[in-house]
Amino acid sequence: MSQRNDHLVQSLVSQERPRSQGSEENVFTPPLDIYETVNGLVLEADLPGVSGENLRVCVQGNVLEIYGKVNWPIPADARPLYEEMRLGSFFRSFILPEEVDADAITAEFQHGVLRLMLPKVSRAKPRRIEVKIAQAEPPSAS
Amino acid sequence: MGEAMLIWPLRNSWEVFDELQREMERLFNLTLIGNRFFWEASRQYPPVNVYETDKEYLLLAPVPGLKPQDLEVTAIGDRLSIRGERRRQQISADETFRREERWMGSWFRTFSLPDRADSERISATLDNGLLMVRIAKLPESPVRQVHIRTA
Repeated sequence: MSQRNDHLVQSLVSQERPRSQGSEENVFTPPLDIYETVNGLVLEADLPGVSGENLRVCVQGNVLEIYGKVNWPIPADARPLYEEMRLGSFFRSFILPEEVDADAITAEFQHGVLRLMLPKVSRAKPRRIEVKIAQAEPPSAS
Repeated sequence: MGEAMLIWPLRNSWEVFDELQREMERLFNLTLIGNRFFWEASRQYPPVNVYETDKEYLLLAPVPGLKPQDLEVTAIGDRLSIRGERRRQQISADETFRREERWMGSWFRTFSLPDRADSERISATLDNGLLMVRIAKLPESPVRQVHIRTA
């Protein structure tokens, strides 16, 4: 069971690759957390500085792509004095495992964090089989 | 860092002010988040960029997931400090983390302000997880010619 799930997540994340959008734009891979619930996977990615209208999440076939463009709020006449980070945009793509119902994916974006809910198709969900208690034997006459 | 040194050659402006602070921060983070050893003292969280225009200094730091109430920006004398905390969300017993790449925990960074920074006029905004602190510049002190008399 856990092996199977690891494989599921592995296939979800193994296809990440940075892609250059245009020529000189820096594109970074955003860090993310993934956790599994009974209903599916929840993915949370840090995309600081991306605004809702510059965020694109799309599914084509079994490929999910996240692209967030950042309009860095730096005045044109500003000169850098000290830099610990390079500025750029965010991109990450995944191959969705078969267990995910691509049509039912939903997304929320708040405070620079994207949250994707990737529900499992119902046949992939653990299903509890109700065990019917067999009719109790009629008490034997003693 | 070399650039900062060139601009203010007399002190390490915009650098975390000493090794002790750095070490304390590291221990603090390690205690709070247990096994996250990968965030070494050399890599401070959050990373910051500092810019200057003719009128102000700008400090930019990505703090995804934080709301204004999770952040504190203070200025005391020529020290500017930013502090924040983010916790990984609690998941229930039947849920499992499959990947944890996002950095969580408490952090604290201090910077020394350059001479022309006006510590009375500092403002901060938080927009989609990006913190921007603006520090107004004081007018440039006029050059005063000192008359030299012959003894």
